[in-house]
Amino acid sequence: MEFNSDIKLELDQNILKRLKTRIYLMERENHKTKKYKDNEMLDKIRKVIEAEVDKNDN
Amino acid sequence: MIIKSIALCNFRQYKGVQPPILFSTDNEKNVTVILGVNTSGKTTLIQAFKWCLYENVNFKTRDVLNIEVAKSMGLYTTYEVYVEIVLIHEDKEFTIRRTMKFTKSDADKIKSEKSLLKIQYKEDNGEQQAVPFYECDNTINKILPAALSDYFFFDGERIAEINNRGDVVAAVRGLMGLDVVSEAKDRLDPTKASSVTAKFSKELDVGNDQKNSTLKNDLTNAQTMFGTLNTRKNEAKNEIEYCERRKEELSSQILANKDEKHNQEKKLSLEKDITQITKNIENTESRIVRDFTAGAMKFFAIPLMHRAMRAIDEAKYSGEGIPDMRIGAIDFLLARQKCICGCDLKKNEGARDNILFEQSLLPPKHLGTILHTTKDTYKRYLKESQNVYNTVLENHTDYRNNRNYLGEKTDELKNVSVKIQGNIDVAKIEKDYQKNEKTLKDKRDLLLKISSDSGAAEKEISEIERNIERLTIVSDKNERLRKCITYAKAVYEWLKVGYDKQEKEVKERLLESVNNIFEKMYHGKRHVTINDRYQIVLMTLLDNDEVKTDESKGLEAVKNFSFISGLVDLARQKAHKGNGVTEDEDIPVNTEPYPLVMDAPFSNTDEIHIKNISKIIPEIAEQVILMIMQKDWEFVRSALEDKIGCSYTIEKINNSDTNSAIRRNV
Amino acid sequence: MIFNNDYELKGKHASYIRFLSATTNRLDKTAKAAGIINTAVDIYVITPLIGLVYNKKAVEDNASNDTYSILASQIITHQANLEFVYRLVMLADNSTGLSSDDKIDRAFRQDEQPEKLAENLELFHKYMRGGLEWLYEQFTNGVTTKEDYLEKVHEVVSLYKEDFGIDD
Repeated sequence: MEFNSDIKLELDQNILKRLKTRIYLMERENHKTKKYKDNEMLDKIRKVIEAEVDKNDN
Repeated sequence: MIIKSIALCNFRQYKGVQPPILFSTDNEKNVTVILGVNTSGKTTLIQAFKWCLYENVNFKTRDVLNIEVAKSMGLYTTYEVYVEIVLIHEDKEFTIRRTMKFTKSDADKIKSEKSLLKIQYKEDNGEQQAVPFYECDNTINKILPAALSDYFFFDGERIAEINNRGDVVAAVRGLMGLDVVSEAKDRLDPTKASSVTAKFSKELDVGNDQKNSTLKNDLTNAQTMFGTLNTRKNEAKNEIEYCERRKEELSSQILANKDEKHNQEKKLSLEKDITQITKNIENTESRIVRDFTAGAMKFFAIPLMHRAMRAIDEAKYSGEGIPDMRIGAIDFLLARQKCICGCDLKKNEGARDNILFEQSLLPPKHLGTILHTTKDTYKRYLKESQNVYNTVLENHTDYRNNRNYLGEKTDELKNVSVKIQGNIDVAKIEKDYQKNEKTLKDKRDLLLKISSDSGAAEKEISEIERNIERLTIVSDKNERLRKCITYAKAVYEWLKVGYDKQEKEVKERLLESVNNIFEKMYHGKRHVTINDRYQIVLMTLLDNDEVKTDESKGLEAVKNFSFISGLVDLARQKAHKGNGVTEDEDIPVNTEPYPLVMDAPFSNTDEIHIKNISKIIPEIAEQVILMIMQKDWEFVRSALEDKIGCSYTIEKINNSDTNSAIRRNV
Repeated sequence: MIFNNDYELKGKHASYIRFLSATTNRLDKTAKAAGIINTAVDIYVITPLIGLVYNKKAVEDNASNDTYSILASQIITHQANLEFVYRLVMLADNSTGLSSDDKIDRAFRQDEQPEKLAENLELFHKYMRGGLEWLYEQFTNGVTTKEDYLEKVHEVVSLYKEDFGIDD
């Protein structure tokens, strides 16, 4: 395996779809309610992505 | 967004608590008209909206408070001004109230506190939920961005400023719901340092990645090297084996050769002997003939000589010769032809015969002498002949022996010759042997070296593997990060593509919409276009060249109307497409219909335009709130008659400029 | 000087002498000859002795045309031996019934009497031929190779020794 920053990893389309949906909905929800601050949103998004990656790694 | 009501208290000329103005929310009759004469407070209503939502107005703070109230305030009393708007935004009912407290701190001074904005929204279960104060401004911006507020809270007298007001891009985006996407996109934009993607990237331990990569290369190389060394080791072993076999071969060859050498030497020796013996034989042969020849006569004569001697001994030969007479003497007599006795020897033949006879008896002719001599000779020969036989025997023996010897040697030679292989180069074999010994030593040394290198390579491989293991932990983390990055980027791309697409669409449709409306509104041959900053530009079709033209105010108004209408129209269309994330990949851009709140929209337009505009506006806006002057009403009423849901009139109380009230018309 | 001319052998005697002479081998290595005596003249010298001893006389042979000449030069160099042998033969020969005196006469005094000399020589040569035949027989009786011939020399000599009681 090469260790290139621009590596093209195989993406699981299901995961991708889930991420798209969840992130968008998260944003939209927060857009209305402004419940979370910017860095909190960043965190949440990050956690969502990490969760999906970890879940499907093994 | 639909405005349900607005309630004022002490806001400018609206003294005291005013009953809320309930706006029509009906689908069909979606127009609410607010009539009033000039300075009655129409504009103030718009301002009220703006003040409540954005706290920006073009009048001074102190002018917020109703003048009469201000005047009548007792010292240290507090009065508050508030404007409360109830609206529905994304299916939630928001109550927005801005309050400002004024306190008379001094005889002449009225201090005002900073205004407070409170926003609540009704939950699904009916409970009111407060929006945290630090989110209030944002919330309002989501509901209706400040930048667009001038379009939706249309101040007809300030039309000219509209188009030149800053950048409405963000506002339009917000309106079209693109801002959600935009924000989400920004949060994932890899080029933005604060984005999730960038954060992931920062956490990548590229250094270790590269180390890992290098190590993996090293490992492959080391493994290849190890493999090569093993192959070479085996090769070397094979070669050594071959050399050892060869050594044995050559050894036995040399050994065999010793015999060969020996045999060859022997052969030479024998050949030499044979030559010698043959020579001897030849000599002997010569000798045999020679000696035989030499002694034959005497030898064969032996028995005869005995016989002859016997004969001689037996013979009685007569006549002794005259003693002391010599042949020479008689020769003398004969020559003189006279005998001693004086006899004439010439004449007397008989006498001569006698003398001759006597002479014959004389030595050396003397027979006795001759016989004597002869006998001596015989004796001598007999003696000499004694050796003849021995010599012959000797020669014979010699000959015999040599011949036997020759026979022996010849046989030996034959035997040896059989053993001899032929042309064997002893020297070469010994040289080959030495060469082989050296090669063997070299190969053994090489094997040692290869084994040593192989051991080192093995160690190296272990070392590298250990290092890789150590870094794997890091690279596992990296891998995870990479995956996250890739997904983040993918989502970003999706958002970006969708966003760009939507924005393009928004622009196109907006333009289309605006032009549509414009054409309906305007009675000339004009065209508008929107630039990247969403600013409307008026074009004239002039021989296919679109040229920007000077604009009259009326045209300006129509232009701006068109823009607003276009926006509103677009928003309305989008809203009816539905909310929620759809199955297809298009970003569901959430928008909702927006109301149009217009103050004196017709102040700068002509009759026809008024009519046109009036007709169109209700079509395109979900809700229309018109503040118009009495004088314009006549033109508008006909166009709008069946659209009007409710109407209000602003009345001056006591004709005061500082005290107005809003009265609903029935 | 009795012997001072060529002497010619004829017929088989010519063949015999050629056979026995080593000259023959010298002249022609491939010749089938015993070659046990150096030259023909040497054979000429000893054969009268052998003929007398074995009482073998032979006349000239005319059966074949073969001839062999012993040259005068050879004869002259062996003159002394030839005369010795001649006189010995004359002395030792008993075949003509002569007394010892006569033998002595014959041997020593008849050199210059041509008729007597011729007669004597005739006898001499008869014995010579006889001896030649005897010698030839010895060297062709069961002998074929050079080695055989040479070994036969010893045998002949031994035989002769025995026959005539010759002591060592």
